[in-house]
Amino acid sequence: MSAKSISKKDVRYFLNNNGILIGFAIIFIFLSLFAPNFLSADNMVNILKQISCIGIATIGVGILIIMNNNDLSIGSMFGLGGVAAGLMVSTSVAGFGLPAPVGFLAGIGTGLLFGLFNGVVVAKGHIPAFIVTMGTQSIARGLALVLAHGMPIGSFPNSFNYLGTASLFGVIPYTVVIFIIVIFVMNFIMKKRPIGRYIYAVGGNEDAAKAAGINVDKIKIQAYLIEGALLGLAATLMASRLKSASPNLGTGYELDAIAGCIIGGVSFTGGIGNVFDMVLGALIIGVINNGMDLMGVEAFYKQIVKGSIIIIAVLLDRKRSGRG
Amino acid sequence: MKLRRFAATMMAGLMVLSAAGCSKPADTKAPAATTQAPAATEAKTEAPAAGAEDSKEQLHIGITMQGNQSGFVQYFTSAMYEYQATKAPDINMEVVFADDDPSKQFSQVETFVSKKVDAIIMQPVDKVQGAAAVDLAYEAGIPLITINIITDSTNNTAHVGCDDVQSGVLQMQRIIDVCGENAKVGYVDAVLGHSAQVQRAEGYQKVLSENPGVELVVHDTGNWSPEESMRLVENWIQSGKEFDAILCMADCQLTGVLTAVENAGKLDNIKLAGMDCDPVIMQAIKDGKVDCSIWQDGLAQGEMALETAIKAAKGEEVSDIIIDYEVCTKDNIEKYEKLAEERDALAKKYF
Repeated sequence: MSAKSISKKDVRYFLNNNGILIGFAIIFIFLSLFAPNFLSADNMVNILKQISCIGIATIGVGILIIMNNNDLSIGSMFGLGGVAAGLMVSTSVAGFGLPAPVGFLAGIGTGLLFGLFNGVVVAKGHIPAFIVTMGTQSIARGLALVLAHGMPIGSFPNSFNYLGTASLFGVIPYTVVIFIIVIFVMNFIMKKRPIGRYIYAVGGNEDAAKAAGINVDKIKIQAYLIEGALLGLAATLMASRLKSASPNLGTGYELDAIAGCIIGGVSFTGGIGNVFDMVLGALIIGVINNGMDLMGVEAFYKQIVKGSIIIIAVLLDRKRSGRG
Repeated sequence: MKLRRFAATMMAGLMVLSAAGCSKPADTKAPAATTQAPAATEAKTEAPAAGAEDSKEQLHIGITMQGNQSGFVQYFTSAMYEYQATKAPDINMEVVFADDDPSKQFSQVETFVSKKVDAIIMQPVDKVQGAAAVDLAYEAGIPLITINIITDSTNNTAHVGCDDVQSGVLQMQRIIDVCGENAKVGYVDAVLGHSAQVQRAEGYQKVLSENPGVELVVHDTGNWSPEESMRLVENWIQSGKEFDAILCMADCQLTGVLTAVENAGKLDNIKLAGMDCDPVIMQAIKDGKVDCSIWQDGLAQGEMALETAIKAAKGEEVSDIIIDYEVCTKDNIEKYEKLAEERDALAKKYF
């Protein structure tokens, strides 16, 4: 009798705390049954490959949301980071034809630079991140267009395309390997390093964090720097994967990235969330996109289905938070 | 305390204003630079022109373009600047960009009307929503020339542009010519509902209905994004669909599709077709990776639009001008490469 009640409690506890995981499992099982070729090793790799870049950006903006900040310039940074990297390595007339590592450094450096700018203006200027990053969204997009003369850049050397197209042991694409490394490194930083704990503290209650002696401005700038570097990396990987860069790339990615965080249970009021759940959020979006393409859902309906599933997934999760 | 909060609010307000101010120049840097160029040419040529006919007033032509992000907007606009600089130095050209916002474009046309310009050239942001602006100019008695995109209103004085249905027909026909009458094809749509997408799909359908043997395997939108298009085609190939050819409504999408097909090792089996003749795709055509792209003469459209607007401003009779699309393949690529070089050089001169 008592054993039964305990197990019932356990089940409820599990349901309450793993709404997203359960939602993911339901979607996954549904697609395994109905989408042709969904449940093949090839397709699993395919999905991971497709979410790697946006997933890295999701983790980036996720730590900002935990800090009760935000970044609306993600999409533009995909454009600018890719163009910056592309210009360095392209062998066409527009590019400099420099070695591949220079391209990666340029992409990540561009991300860092904009991260620094966002962070300093948000922290020192005391302006809502929403406003600042909306400004940088426009600046970054404009810069990308100016640098690329409004045209896509191609003719990348194979050495630059290698990371985006080749696979470790011929099985796992390097983009996925990098994504997994980023997941574990960021999880380590957020859980084990002081900066991670400070980010949670600032997001949970900024005044309390300040009173506790945390240098809030410094933490904010550091968080934006980390996010910028991740965005730069994601943008450069994307260029390497596409074997080209376009200044218009990434329109609307900020919404996908932020949606991934929210689906993954990161609280918009700050202080709550973890890296693995963000990845789960990004995975849900990726799996839905892939599954609907495989099933051949018509384009108009795809958007409706996608939006509905996102809302249901979050509802499942909110039920838990409401009780907690 | 109160004072401090007040100061902080003021400060924030100021910063917001300056941030807004900051973002603007970066965004509109290109057009800002361009307005300088014609201003310089104007200044140079103004003196003799004024000397010759100082009593006659300068023609004032207001031009509102979609946004400054697409290559074609640059081509249209640079062609107009070039035409002004070389053939019509005595006109006053005012170019504004609507940033892809139909309501912004409407207010720009309103401004032109209240300024009583002699003619307006408009590249509508939206086919349906652009109609109101066309009617507005018509009611004010100001000639309005639409360029590139038509609106639902028939009150425009004339239209200069291409027939997007034709581009779809040419591309699909070329693919059927290459792949045979029993080809299995798929295509990647542009943004759904955009007039280019609607009309190009209409062109595809027209050819498909004449070739019942051709099977349309699948089509879906790539939203003008190389990354989304790549994902889409990766998933198509993943789901086991077989293609003889994949068509794209824009070359920017084809760059992603090309990568997906190349990575899947199917470049030999699947013919690829694009539109717009982007440099990246022209290179791929030369390398034999892409079968064809469709050439749209952007410069001619810009030039003719301005020429027509000047005529209309002078009260002359004008009529619609449709400029043909052309198919660019490996056999005639040199011709289009040369044209593209000239086109891009001109765009770089003004943007």
